[in-house]
This record gives sequence, C-alpha cells and structure tokens, in this order.
Amino acid sequence: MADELIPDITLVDNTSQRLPCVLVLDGSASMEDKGAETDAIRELNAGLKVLEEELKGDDVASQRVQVLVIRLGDDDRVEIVLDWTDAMDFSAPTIEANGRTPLGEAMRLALQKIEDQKAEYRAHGISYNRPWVFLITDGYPTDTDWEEAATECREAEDSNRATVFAIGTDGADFEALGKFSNKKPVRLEGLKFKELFVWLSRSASSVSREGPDQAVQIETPADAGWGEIVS
Amino acid sequence: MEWKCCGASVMGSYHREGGIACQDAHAIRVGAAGDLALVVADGAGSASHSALGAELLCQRVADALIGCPEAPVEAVAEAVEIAIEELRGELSSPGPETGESSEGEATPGLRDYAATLVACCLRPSGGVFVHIGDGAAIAMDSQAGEAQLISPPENGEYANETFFFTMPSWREHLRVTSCGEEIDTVFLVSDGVTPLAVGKDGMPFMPFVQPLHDHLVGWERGEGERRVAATLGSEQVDRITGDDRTLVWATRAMGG
Repeated sequence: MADELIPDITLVDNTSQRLPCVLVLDGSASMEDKGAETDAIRELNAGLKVLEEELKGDDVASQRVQVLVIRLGDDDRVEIVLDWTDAMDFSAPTIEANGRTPLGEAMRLALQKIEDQKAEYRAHGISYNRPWVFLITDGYPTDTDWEEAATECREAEDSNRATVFAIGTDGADFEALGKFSNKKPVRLEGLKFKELFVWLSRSASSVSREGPDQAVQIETPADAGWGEIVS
Repeated sequence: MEWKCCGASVMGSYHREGGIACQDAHAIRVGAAGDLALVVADGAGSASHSALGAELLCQRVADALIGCPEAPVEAVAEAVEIAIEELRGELSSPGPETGESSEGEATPGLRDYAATLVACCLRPSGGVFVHIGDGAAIAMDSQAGEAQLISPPENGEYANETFFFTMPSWREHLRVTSCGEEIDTVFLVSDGVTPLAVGKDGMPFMPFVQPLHDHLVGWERGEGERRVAATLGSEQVDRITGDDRTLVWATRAMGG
C-alpha cells in the first residue's frame, strides 16, 4: 500500500480546538495539618506537579487543553493563581492553606472566566469543547450566598455552558458539594490527588479530541482508582 | 467541457476497531451537457442508521444537482431542498429502501438517519455549493494557483456539535454559495479530512491540497481513487483522526 500514497503530501493536524479547564482549589486553613507526615495541601500541590507532567507529556492535551487555576481561602477571598494558560506552558502553582472556604464566590468567578474565554475563542475563530470546572475542597462553603452560586452552577450545566465536577476529601460536606453540580459529588480516596490529576489530564486529552458528533466516554473515578461517587 | 474526478470514503480507526460500518458516503455524477455533481455526506456516529442516511442523501442530492446546466443558483438550491424534503418524508415513514428494522428493534425514525452534506454542481458558467453542517468545500483556480475555502464547516457552540439534514431546523443551516467559471478545481471533504485540508488560519492548507491536485491530474479515475483511499487510510492520518474520511476531487480537463 505504501507505494500508492500520494507523494509529497503533508499530512498534519491543523485543528485549533481548545478544552478550557478551570481548577477551583480550596486553600483554606483546614487543608493543612502541620503535625502530620503529609496533609491535603501538600498532596494537592504534589498532584498539581503531576498534572503539569501529564499534560506536557501528552501531544494532544498539551496543544488543546487550557488551564485556569482559582484559589479560595484567606478572609473569604478568591484569587486567580494562574490565568488561562496553554497546557504546554502550564507551570504548577503552589497553593497555600490559610483562611476560610468561599466556594460560592470562587465558582462564580470560574463561570465568569469561562464565558470571557469563550468570547475570546469566538473572536479568534477557535473552536472549543464544553468547558470543565473542577471544584476540589475539604470543607464547607463559608460565604453567605454560596447556595445561589451553586444554583448558578447547576443552571450553567443545564444550559450546556460547562460541566462541573465536585470533589471532596474525607470530611468535606458532600451535601453542600452536591448542590454545585447536577452530577453526584466524588469523594477523594485517601489523599490520592496525584491519581486524580493523572485521570484529569488523560480524560481531558480524550475529550479534547472530540470532533463533531463524537462523545468520548471517560473513565469513572472508581475505575481510575482515586475516588467514589457519593450518593 | 469535460471533468476529471475521483473520490474515496475510508473507514476511520474508531469504526475499524468497533466493527462499525463507514458512515461517510460520496457520489459523483457526470452530466451530458458538461455539468458535474459531487456530493459528500457524513453519517452521525450517534445515529443508528446514519450510514444508510448518508448514502441515500448522496444519491438524492446528486440526482437533483445533475442535468440542469443552465439553471440559476436559486433553482439549483431549490432542487436540492425539494430532494432533501422528499427524502426526509420517506425516512419519517420507512419503507423497503430505508432499511426497516429487524424483529425486536425499534422502528428507526428520521433522526436515526442523521448526516451532514457538502455538495456542488459545476457547470460551464460556474459552480453552486450546498452545505449542511461540517465538512468543507475548497474551490481552486489552478491556473492562478489560488484556492479558497468556499464553504466552511458549521458547528454548534462546541466543536463536537454540528447540524444534520434530519434536524427540524435543517433549512436554517442549509448554506448556498456560488463561484464563477474561473474555478476549475474543487475538493469536497468530510470532517475527518477537514483538519488535513484546512489550515489553522481557516484557509485551504496548500501543502495538502496542491500535491493532491498535481498528483491526481496525472491518473485515471480508478487509480486516483486507490491512491486517495490509501493516503486517507494511512497510519499518519490514523494518528490525526479516528473519524471516517471522505475526499472528492474534480478538475476541468485541459482544453475542455
């Protein structure tokens, strides 16, 4: 067959397609346990480094996935730790543990940043997949109107604007977490942040290949060995 | 006027691995009056009878496009709309030709035949392109060495969403474009080939388009089709897409 190929033809992938992916990370004081051998914040930060390696090591993900990182903590404060970055340029930030857990405000910011980024894509003729938001926490939302923000997240899912994954460590308030997504929240097994981020990178790589009329199935957290669905 | 043409539909690796039929189809019709009809249809992966839907759509639209070398653009578009409307009607109440379900299966409905459409008719006076959904049409003036993406893909908000002739809103997504007689070469591609044929800048990707044209000009149809099929089915293309791939090419014969 090889001799029947058309000679001198360039066969490359010219697709400029993006999968926007927001990480909303809990940087509250309870993530830290100074006396312990390890704790959630150290494992989260180690996990982010694994995410960097995984994304950069994947030809498709490195070109198609874009990441934005939001930290919540301090005195009910929300900050963009890393603004939209191509996965190939992603450098794992270090999340500090300090303060409270304003999940509602952080998720509102995530939804806003997604809509802003979609407008950028459209202005530049870049096609994109449905954005992902990962909410990762060990606690309970402390901002006063978090339930309204949670409703806005579910509405965003209903209207196909984004997909929200709510993930909690042991001890997180899964009833509250469940209100941020139409899918059930997932309990992180132990402190398997590394496994979670390997799964995230590989799932993002698969989904970012989705062309028209293709829906890629991603592995469940249980099959991937990092979590279980809380029902 | 004479045309040189060829086309190939190749199954993608997703379908090879899954044992699913190729859901792309194409049709080429040569008219008696120097006209030519080319059609590419891409059956939806999510629709159970889309391979048949794509095949039927190709045949009906090709029939509608051929044999009217003098018709104005509006009349060509109307003929295609009528053909699609008729096919939609038949598929809404399946008969012998539309693949009745075997015992125990639910009777397929119109949406089970979902497919996109890229088609054109080329006449001495110029060409008319009709398009629903993704895939693309490239028009080239080979004498001037200029190519344009004359009919780009249309997706929904997200890259994995597109439009099919089976949708209630299909007329809103039927796009009609025309070109003048200076266009002597046309490529129609399904979405599996779009990443190869269209550059990041939204223009035809000439390192793909030009060698293909230069090469196909030198071969008879059967040999050209074998080479297009071998190229689209190559490992290099498997690494880029798992989707089915269709490419139809035509050029006005020299001196025609």
